[in-house]
Amino acid sequence: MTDQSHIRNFCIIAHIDHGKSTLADRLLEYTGTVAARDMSQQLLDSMDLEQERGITIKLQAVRLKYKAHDGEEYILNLIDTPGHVDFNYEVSRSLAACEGALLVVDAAQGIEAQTLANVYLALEHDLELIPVINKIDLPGADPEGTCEQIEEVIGLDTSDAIMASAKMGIGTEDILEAIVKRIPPPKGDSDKPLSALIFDSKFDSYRGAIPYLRVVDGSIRKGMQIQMMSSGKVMDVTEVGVFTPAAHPVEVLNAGEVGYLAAAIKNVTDTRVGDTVTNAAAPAPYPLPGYHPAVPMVYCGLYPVENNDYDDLKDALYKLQLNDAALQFEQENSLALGFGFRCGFLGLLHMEIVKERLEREYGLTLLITAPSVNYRATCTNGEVLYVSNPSLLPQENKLALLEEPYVKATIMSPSDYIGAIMELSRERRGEFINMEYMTPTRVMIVYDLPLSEIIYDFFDQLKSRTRGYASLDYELDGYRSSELVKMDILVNDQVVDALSVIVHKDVAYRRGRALVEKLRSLIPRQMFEIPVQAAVGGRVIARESVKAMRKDVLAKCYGGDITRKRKLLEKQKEGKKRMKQVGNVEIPQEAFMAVLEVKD
Amino acid sequence: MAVSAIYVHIPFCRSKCNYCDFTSYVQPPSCHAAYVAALRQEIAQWQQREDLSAVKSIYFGGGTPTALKAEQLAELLRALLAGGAEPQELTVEANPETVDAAYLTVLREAGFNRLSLGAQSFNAQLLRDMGRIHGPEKIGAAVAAARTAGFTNCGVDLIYGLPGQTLAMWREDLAAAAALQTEHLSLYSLQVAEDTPWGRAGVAEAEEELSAQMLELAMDYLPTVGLRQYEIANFARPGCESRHNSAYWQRLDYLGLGAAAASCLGAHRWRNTDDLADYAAAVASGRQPLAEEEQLTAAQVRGEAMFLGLRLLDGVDAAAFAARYGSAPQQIWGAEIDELLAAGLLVQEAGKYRLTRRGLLLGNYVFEHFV
Repeated sequence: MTDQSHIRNFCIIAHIDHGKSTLADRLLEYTGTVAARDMSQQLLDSMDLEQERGITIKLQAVRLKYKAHDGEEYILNLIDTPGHVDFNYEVSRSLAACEGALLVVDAAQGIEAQTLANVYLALEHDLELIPVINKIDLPGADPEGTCEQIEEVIGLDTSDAIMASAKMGIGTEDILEAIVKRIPPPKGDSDKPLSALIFDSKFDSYRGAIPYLRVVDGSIRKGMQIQMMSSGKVMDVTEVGVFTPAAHPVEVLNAGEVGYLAAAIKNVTDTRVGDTVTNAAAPAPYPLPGYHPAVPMVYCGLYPVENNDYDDLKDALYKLQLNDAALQFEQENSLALGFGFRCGFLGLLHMEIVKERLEREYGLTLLITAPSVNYRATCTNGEVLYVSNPSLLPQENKLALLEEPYVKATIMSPSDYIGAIMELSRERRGEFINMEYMTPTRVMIVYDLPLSEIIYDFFDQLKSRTRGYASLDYELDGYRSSELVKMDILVNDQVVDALSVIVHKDVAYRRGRALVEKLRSLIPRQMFEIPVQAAVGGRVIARESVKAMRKDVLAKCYGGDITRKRKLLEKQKEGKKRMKQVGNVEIPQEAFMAVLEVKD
Repeated sequence: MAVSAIYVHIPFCRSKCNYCDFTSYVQPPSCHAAYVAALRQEIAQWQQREDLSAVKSIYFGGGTPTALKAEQLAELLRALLAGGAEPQELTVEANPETVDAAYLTVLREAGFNRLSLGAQSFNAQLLRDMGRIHGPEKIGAAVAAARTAGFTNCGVDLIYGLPGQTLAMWREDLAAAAALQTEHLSLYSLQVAEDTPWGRAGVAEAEEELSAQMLELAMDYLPTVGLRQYEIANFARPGCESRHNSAYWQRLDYLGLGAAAASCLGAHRWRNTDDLADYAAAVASGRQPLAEEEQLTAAQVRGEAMFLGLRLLDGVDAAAFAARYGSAPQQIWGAEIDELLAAGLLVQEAGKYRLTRRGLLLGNYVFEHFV
């Protein structure tokens, strides 16, 4: 058993491409956790496996043994973190499992907004931050400038920042020493009742859902009866262990330690990230702070392009959900698209990942409808409905009240961009709440914003208008009534329910015009002219038409190269198979996402 | 089935045109001899491998075949005819600026009896834009020289849908071509390929409506000057239809010789390498200079036969198709044919399927149903 003074729990905060995985590899190598020659082999293997078995296997948490300069051996637990605003909650739980973090910044690129969001989360959790200036071997590297930037933007002392090149193995030992010396050891109490934080989980076909834990107080061992504090579910522990990085069973996990447990848990929804595991016989008085169940922010319809693939899609969604507790779905039916599912996601990135995985890992060709938030409709008869599928919104004369979800959005940025941020927030119907100077040059701005305005391109816009320096975090903050209308789209005089959207009254006309124009450009010419209209409350507000096909014929067959011509025809035919037949019109997949590309 | 057509590719030009994505190289004439020698080897090898005595047409295309010396072309043709074939149609492609009466007389005496001139346009500005190195006046001069040399069967190629070309300009080109009174006219709709100067410059193809009007104009005008449309892109005086191109549409066996040339024997298709050094090395060592080959399934062969056959205005004879491929089109593509008949793209008359006027313009849409 390792006493807590010899344990350090840390994570790595870095922007994509700034060298997080390379640095992790170096730490694994240097500590002998993984032999250098096995390194690439091992990573490749796990990627193959990932593709073959359709599950994500990552180095979520790995235990390193390190003999420090003081002659003592330490257990260093490296905990991985995702890196996107969609997964902020997951990041915050991973950070809550640590006492410190390596802040890795590319010496040539400087700090990026994505890094900042996580830095602020880390500071909220009182993590000790160790700045690591990486890639100092690159020709464009500017370590001093990068340090200055860190001091200025984050207000972090960089006098003992570590100069490193993960690629060249420079600075690895300094980093390990700093982890031991500067990151505080855990301060839990093994004699208290068990409370352990779930910071991630994965699904294993043999052992069920496997939660990854940080034991805060108490200890956990095989044979113990545990309880999930959010659901009250009780289960028997069949195994506890640590990752070395392969799963390695141990007798017990004590306060301060990081590892996993197996308890024949059938579904990952029973191992919610952020939940507290306690001893069923002697439970902790309170759960650990900060838990909330994953709440979908964005909904969309997911349909097979081939109607026969419905059952395959259903199976695939169930399998994917085993590994992704945040994914929600229920069956729905569209007049235009047939049978499919209404799915809930954490954000647009999460939505794209799920669609991509369904197509790649399960070989499905899918059609995705425009994302929507979950509206609250109060009918004249007093009935309250939650509507995430715009086509199901009750008719205007039956609606007493229509409300949309709002979020409290916190934006941090250098003060130079205050004007740009306020302008963007105003454009998106934001209501200014508060602004605070964190340092003389950094501000925190809080806006209440309709969620529907955030989910589209708000984050991208924010980044581009602040040259990447602003960070964004948001949380749901109740419902507010808005002047919203349902806009229907008619293709060839038929309402295509999957194209309906809910929009604010003030922008309906402009968005309708832009949307039908976009659809005209996306729907390919067919044998007959196709009118495309936008209508609100039965009144057409915009009209375009897709002209009938006029000419489409192969030029000639030079020197008899028929093969090329045949392949061209086959490709053209294949392209049509990827379109959805709605009535007698073929509509390409992109058309259903057109609303995303329409700017006011 | 015996080989009925031979294509010979001459991959040389004096300069490259901005729209061209064919295999062709600009090389000094001193480099041509090695290629001619390699071609002669390939010809000799095929004369060993296959019976070429039933060949009905020979076609020298490019590139610009007339980038070679007349005597080199004559030498190649003599080598081909040494196998005992007595083809009725022997075509050579030429660029207007490369030929005169003396040059063409050498070709005519060697046995060529049909000349296909790459005119492309009679508009000086459009010719310059395309990167052509001849002016409009050279086209008439070349036809006159061909007549002097004894060519009684001449054809002209035009391109439409060029950048900046209006319907009125196209009408002038058609009239200028008709005035030359050639026996044959081919009209090609510009396709901008990626790996060409125009493709790299992002030049756009003509708008669909304009391109359609240009083809319709030709279809209405050319018959009034005696040129009947017999294939989507080809017009001829009755009896002067190109036998060689018809062999492709009728899916007869043909052999392609030279770099990048394509061949089809039954269900076997292949294409030679377009790299001149690889080509010469392969031929020298007695190997086929293959770049790619494929063995078609029976279904692919039938599909090709249908979409190629429909390009001919005469159409596809259902009984002849059934006799050759085992099943009538209606048995294989019942639903597709019904749909196309109902859509007014196809008609069935006197046992034949053929494209309607609208079907001609929407050929690809129709053909997709058969692949």
